[in-house]
Amino acid sequence: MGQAAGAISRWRTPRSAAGAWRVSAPEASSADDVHSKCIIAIARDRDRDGFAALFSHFAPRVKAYLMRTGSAPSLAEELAQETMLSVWRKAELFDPARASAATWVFTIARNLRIDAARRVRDPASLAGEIEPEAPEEPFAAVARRQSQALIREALKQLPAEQREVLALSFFEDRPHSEIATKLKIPLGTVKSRVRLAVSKLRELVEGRT
Amino acid sequence: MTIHHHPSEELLMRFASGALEGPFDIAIAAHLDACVLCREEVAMWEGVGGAMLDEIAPAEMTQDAFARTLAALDRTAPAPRRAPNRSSALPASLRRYRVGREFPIGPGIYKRNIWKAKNGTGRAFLLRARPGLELPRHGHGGTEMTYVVQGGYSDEHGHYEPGDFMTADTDHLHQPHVDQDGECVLLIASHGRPIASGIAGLIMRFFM
Ligand SMILES: [Zn+2]
Repeated sequence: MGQAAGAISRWRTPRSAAGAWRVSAPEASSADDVHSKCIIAIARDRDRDGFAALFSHFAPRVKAYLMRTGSAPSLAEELAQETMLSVWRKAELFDPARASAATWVFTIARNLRIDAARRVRDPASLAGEIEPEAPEEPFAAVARRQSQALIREALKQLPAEQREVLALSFFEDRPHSEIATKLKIPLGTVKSRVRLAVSKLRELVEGRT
Repeated sequence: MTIHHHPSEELLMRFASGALEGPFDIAIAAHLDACVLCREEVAMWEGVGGAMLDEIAPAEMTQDAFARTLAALDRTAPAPRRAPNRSSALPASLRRYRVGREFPIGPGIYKRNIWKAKNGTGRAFLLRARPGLELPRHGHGGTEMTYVVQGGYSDEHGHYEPGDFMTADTDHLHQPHVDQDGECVLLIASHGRPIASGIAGLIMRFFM
């Protein structure tokens, strides 16, 4: 985790050389930019067409994600709808400089999943929704926006077998032993693929060697 | 604040994925409040999560899912509650928890509960200890994570200051010793019970 300053300077790729950390209207060069615009339109005008577009893309994917992490289909469905409701209600808090649309939606779904699990264990502990925190300083935001594009690129560059174990171990939270059984490969191979995937990812994203 | 001790990369990855058990995400979140390096690391993993979410094979939603969500949009959102604890002395990530009242658990040592699993295996709490206090040497019947909120302490393995984060496992014995120059406040998240000997050990076992 050292090297932060170096990593951040490498994140300033030409793609966003303008240095504007608050990107107001990026050209719609990718599906994610379209989704970002939808969230911004909801924040500005309560735009229902934008919401419909977001719902049809993200709701079924959030449901799939939650089912893969072990939620029953009915809970996954409920939390997917709740995630989309949060997208509508929290759209003002979305800052395209800090996260891509997909990353923002992922964190909302993940947090709802954690809270659902915690509610089961201890219903009294959480105070529920509280006032939003102040946004982070723009310095960190610059690095973050650039890294989003780099992360996508880096994932594409990983060998398929490394990508697969990374998806199973990070995205789906599966223990290494379970991955070994599922893919019919030795445990040691799972561990080394995860390790390789993580270090390759880090290298590509942070320019670390 | 110079932070010398961070959560492992694996812990940060599991935090980002939402897989951390019980109380541990509370301790990690407190460290993230203080540590920009680890925030960046978690942000990287969240970016990975977003990219994977975009590419996952979609599941089928129930037929009326969109109509039901649309209907919910028009209902007024519940007003955000005021954070239950607004103490600026505590990490911002604790604001959403009802942190309990402080009570003494031994001479010069006080505890405030943050969270406890219903089945009793996981808990997060704050400890405030007087300057110079020596805790009994203890190990852990599980994993214990410690985040230094205020002050400092040492054990056989090093010296810890505000922002520092430590993980101790089952076989890891240590004897914390609070710095002489001030009180020490620790956020502790544990799974399993600390195991100590002597009367002080009994106190610890009983209350922690
Ligand atoms: Zn850190």
